[in-house]
Amino acid sequence: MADTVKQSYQLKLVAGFADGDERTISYDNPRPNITAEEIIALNSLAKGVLVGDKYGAEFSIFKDAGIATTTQVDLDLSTQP
Amino acid sequence: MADKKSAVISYVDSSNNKGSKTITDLADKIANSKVWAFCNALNSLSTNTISQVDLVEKTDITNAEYKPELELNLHTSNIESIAFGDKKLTSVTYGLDGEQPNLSVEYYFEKSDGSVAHICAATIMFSANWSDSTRNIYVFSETTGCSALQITKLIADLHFAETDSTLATTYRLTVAEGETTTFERI
Repeated sequence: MADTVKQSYQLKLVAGFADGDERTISYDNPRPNITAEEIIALNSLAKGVLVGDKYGAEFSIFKDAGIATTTQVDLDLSTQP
Repeated sequence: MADKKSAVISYVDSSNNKGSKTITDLADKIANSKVWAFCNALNSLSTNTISQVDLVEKTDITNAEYKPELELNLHTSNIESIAFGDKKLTSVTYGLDGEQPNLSVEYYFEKSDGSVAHICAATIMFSANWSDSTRNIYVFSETTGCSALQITKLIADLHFAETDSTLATTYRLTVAEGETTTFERI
């Protein structure tokens, strides 16, 4: 056996709140073709649902969105006794 | 400060592995339907198939009101044709089971030259014994602008109408002579 490489992807959404607080929401297995328009459309559905985790401030907008890639190398340990 | 809600999204990924994601810090007075709409929209940005959303208030999990996306299963399908001289009567039968929905349906027929003809649209209110029912469509070839024996395939787009558009779902049923029937969410 040999070392194996695994890649995983996460959508990272940075939610902004009325008190200036920010919170990142991660979600696994994002579609590769997500558009900015889809994130903007999500704003209206998040309003009134998400609140800030400090003072319960109202959600304002998603300030940033991106797909993070994580690469993990699993070492081959099959030779150990 | 009052305890806030959380939502636990359970899903199946494209490799058929189960997973879940907890969205914390949700407004405590928000309607559950708003939470589900947000969770569905968030999940639509992924390749996951959502299976359930549980709302968590403190340590209590309440999901009795959760209305999952419509799941339909095809249990019957058939396409038959009878020729009358230069005309052709095509009969398509299909039966679906699942949660009783309100559906609007767009029918198309594919002709032997590969072109697609729009036949009709219909709004169907299914009855209570919906899971046992089947639907028959009869179309004379002349009404589709086809000459005899040209209809080869039925395509029916079944639009599940949900008041919240984020939960709307469309299924495509394809029934063809001598081919495997397909029924998929699009």
